[in-house]
Amino acid sequence: MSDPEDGSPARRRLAPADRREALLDRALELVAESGAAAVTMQAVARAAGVARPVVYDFFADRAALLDALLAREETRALTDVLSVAPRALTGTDLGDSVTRALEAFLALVLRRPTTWRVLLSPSAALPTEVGTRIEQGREKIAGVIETSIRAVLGGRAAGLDTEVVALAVVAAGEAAARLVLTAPEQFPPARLTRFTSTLLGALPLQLGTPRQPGTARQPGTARQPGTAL
Amino acid sequence: MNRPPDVARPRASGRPRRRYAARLPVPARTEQLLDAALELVGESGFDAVRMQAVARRGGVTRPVVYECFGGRAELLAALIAREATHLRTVYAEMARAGDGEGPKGARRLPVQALATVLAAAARAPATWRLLYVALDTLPDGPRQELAAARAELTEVIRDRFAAYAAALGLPADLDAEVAVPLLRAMVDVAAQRVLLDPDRYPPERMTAALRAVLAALSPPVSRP
Repeated sequence: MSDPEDGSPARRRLAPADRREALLDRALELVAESGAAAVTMQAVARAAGVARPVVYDFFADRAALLDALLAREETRALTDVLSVAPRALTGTDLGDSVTRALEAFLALVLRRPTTWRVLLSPSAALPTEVGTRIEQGREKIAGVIETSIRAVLGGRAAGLDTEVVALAVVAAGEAAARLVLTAPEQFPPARLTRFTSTLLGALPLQLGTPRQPGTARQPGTARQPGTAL
Repeated sequence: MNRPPDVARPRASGRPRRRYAARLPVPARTEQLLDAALELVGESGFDAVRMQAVARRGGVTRPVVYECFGGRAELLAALIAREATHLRTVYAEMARAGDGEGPKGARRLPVQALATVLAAAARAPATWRLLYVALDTLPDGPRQELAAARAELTEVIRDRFAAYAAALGLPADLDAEVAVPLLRAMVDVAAQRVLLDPDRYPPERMTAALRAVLAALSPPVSRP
């Protein structure tokens, strides 16, 4: 490794593991500032104040660097969510649980805004493997949410397609995170939690009346009178 | 599209005849080539739509493609114009969800609206993929048109959400600016699943899940 002998903090000789983390930190900043396309070996080297070969010591190429970055950010995000999801989604009042879960989720999004911005950005500029990785992370989170839904509903979840409901919850959570990240002044977390508490507060949450499973009907076909939907 | 079998006709030149599709009138050929181009977009994005690639996919020679379109830009513009019209037809149907049946109709609105989108996605997956494909390689004109057509789905959702909230007497201070992007995200994820894996996620499965959730969360019958 050939660090320049300059004594500035950025160029200090670092232990390999720390250097790797520092390079990924710079890459993350580049993504946040200018998108994944801005992450080149040269740009990361320049941002970190090291020579380009130093970057190559740690990552075979740009794709490997982006992959390592996404892997790290995804692990962080997943760890955060997994630490919050099971605790937040408990209690007997569903509206209250959902609002508290959303509050906790948005707080952790805002604790790592850059991480979440990267994970939630349209993945077009990212290599396919990275897109696949993000998709896998999403599936994991959906799995945890599904488990939480089952735990909250207990036997009443029997007739509910919790897998599909969890997908919708993840999508809504991501949309909420995007609002908070892209327009923080217009959408402070409190505005989103006020929405869920207003909405769910307006509903008499009759979770005790499970519907029969397998009653899917095509739109336009006859429905029994008195059936809500 | 039904095409007659490729029958080799004798040629004056005696050269071996290139295999290509039977002659079609220009309007029919235009439609067929747009279908070919749409397939290419679905597989590899807009970058893959080249005159030569469209010719190959359509089973014709390049000059035949040029007979129908002046060039690549014109072909892409025609493609987006056609597909945007298809999307808007579905939006118009979606905008009628829950109409005309009073409060009871309004209760069915969300499921009807979702069913409309998902049925369209299942019926014409290549068209619906245009909602989620990357736009950055599309020339300005068609890009703006497709971006506009995508955004209109959000407007339909906004309109139907307002109708639903009013009919069911949901609180007036329910924040539509929050509700609409969340609903759009949920519609998108359902449509994407239908596109990605229709066997595992048929439209009926998604609408049944929504119906069950709404039934469980059933709000009181509308207040005047």
